[in-house]
Amino acid sequence: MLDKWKKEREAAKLREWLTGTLAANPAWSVVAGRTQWICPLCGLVGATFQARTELLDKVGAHLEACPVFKEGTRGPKFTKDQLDLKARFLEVKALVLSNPLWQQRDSRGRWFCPYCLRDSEVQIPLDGKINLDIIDKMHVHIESCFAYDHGRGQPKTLADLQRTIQAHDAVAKLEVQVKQKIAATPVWRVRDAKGSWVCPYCRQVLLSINASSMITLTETAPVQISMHLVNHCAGYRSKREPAATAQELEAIFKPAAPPVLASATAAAAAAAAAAAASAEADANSATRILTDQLMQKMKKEMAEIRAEVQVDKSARLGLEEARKKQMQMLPELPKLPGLDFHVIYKPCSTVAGDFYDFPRVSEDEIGILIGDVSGHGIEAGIVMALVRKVISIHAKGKSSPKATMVASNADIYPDLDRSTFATVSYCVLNLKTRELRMTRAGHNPILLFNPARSPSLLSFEPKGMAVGVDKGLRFEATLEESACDLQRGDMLLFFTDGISETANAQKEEFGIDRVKEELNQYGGHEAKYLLHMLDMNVAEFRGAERELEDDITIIGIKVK
Amino acid sequence: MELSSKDREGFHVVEVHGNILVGDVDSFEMYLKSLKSRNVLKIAVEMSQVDSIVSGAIGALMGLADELEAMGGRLVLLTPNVKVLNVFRRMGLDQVFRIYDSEEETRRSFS
Repeated sequence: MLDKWKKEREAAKLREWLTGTLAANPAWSVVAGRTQWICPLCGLVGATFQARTELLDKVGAHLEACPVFKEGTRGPKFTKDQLDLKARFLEVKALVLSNPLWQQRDSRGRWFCPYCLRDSEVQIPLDGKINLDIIDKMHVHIESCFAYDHGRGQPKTLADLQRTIQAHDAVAKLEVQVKQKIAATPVWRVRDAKGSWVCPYCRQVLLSINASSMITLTETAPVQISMHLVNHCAGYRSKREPAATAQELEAIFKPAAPPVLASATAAAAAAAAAAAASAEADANSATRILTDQLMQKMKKEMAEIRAEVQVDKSARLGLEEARKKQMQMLPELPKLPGLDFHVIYKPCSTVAGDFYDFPRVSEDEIGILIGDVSGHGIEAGIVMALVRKVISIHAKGKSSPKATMVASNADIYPDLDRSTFATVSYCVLNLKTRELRMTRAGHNPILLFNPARSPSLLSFEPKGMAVGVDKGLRFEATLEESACDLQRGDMLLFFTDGISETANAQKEEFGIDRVKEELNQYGGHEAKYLLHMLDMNVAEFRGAERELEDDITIIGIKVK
Repeated sequence: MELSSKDREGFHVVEVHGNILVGDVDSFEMYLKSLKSRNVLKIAVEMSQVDSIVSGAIGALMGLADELEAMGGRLVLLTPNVKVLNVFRRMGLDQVFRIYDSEEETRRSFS
């Protein structure tokens, strides 16, 4: 009788304590899917209930069996954030296993998120069986999905999702065909004077598609071209072969002659016409000597103008040759196991001041270099080649990026005038340990995104002065080196100020915060996709009718 | 971007109104160089109304600062806002330029 009374008293005390704790401590009231209570002591689903009134009894029953509670622990072992994460995982799991909206894949097996409608790296096998590992990866995406917004967003409809997947499949299928067309048919390789691709169907210049070299035309352009054809091109919808020939497109988009020459040529033409008219008028006149003199004068002027045209043509050809050479000298992307590199490089003038490189430091280390010389054009192009080469030479054998940068600055400084400098980010990645050592000589921050990290977005801004500003002492004293251990799922983003300083018609800059937003949104995808979206959204921000005002370079590295 | 200037006791103030974007660099540089050609050697560039400045314009400031120093003059920055100051800090150039908070401080530095 006494035992029974004691037990009842203990049960009543527990009930009282539990009532207070459930009401007062948020970690004790985390529920998944409105029916599963998660125990903050053991982290497992402790009670499944239909009505709130059942909760107290069921939690009490769980605690009697909970090993952590039995040990005497009363304070929660998990934080509310951790338990919320667990609850969201359980909710995602339940949805994935029961709702077709969560099971959609494209022809390559890539899962599509029902909230943001984006493809992901999550693969659903052909037999459609989704295991816990796959659900875990879906959950990783969902946690950083801007459209899911930690459960606050609304999913799209199944019809919307299937339409998106169909469009993706169409783009993927078309990409292969576009690559073949580019290789085989000149009309698919036409570009305007700035190197932007010209669509053979709608005959529009696509400013966001860089066709300035065969590398960009075959590597980055096909997916962009396919997206344009599938989503925007009215001409392509007929699905016939393009009606235009390469010559016709080139004739439309032939660069206009420089104004000075145009006026000179016009003057010459006017003069020649005047001379011809004059000669005709004088044909029957006795003053033929005067006409001859006039003709001689005209001929002399024409010869001078021809020479002028020839000089300018040579100069232009020289610049185009320099641009071609510069594009040919672009470094190849490293092909390393577990790392996916991608680059977008767009010079705004004939010769660029932006540069990047991946110098091999040692057998186990690779350098990542990105930089921007102040100004652009031929002068910046020469300095850029110098800076890139000097840093790449000094990189060999130096595990410390700071040591490389200090030695490079000392070599570069004497060759630059005081209005020219280069901002540079240079890092060394150890391929075995995956340690990334970073320096930043006045350049934009180095960004890292991984939804599995907390916080998911990191901005590395070690201190450092731009290259070529100081002879050496101050440069070395201010240059900091920082480090970070990379992990699976990390996305590293390097970019030049052609991205962050792009201005729209209202003279508002794109800014580093918007770059971070883009990384937050697309950083969970492949590097190629992130860079494509960033580039496209920067172009959209700038406005289709506005030309590039600065070179653009973006490097994305995904750790797999 | 718009530029105006005023004479102060012992130095010249160039006031920059609006952001200095890529398309403004040439006119910005020409304006500063025109002062030098008029033998104005002590210049304070007032930047309180500038929210962003591109690297080309910073290069122009550095080039002119060097030329003025060689001629016995100096170029300083006056009251840049936090955004612009951060750009100079990011590039490590806050250690290259002298930066002042008021015309009075600037005047003392030039005297």
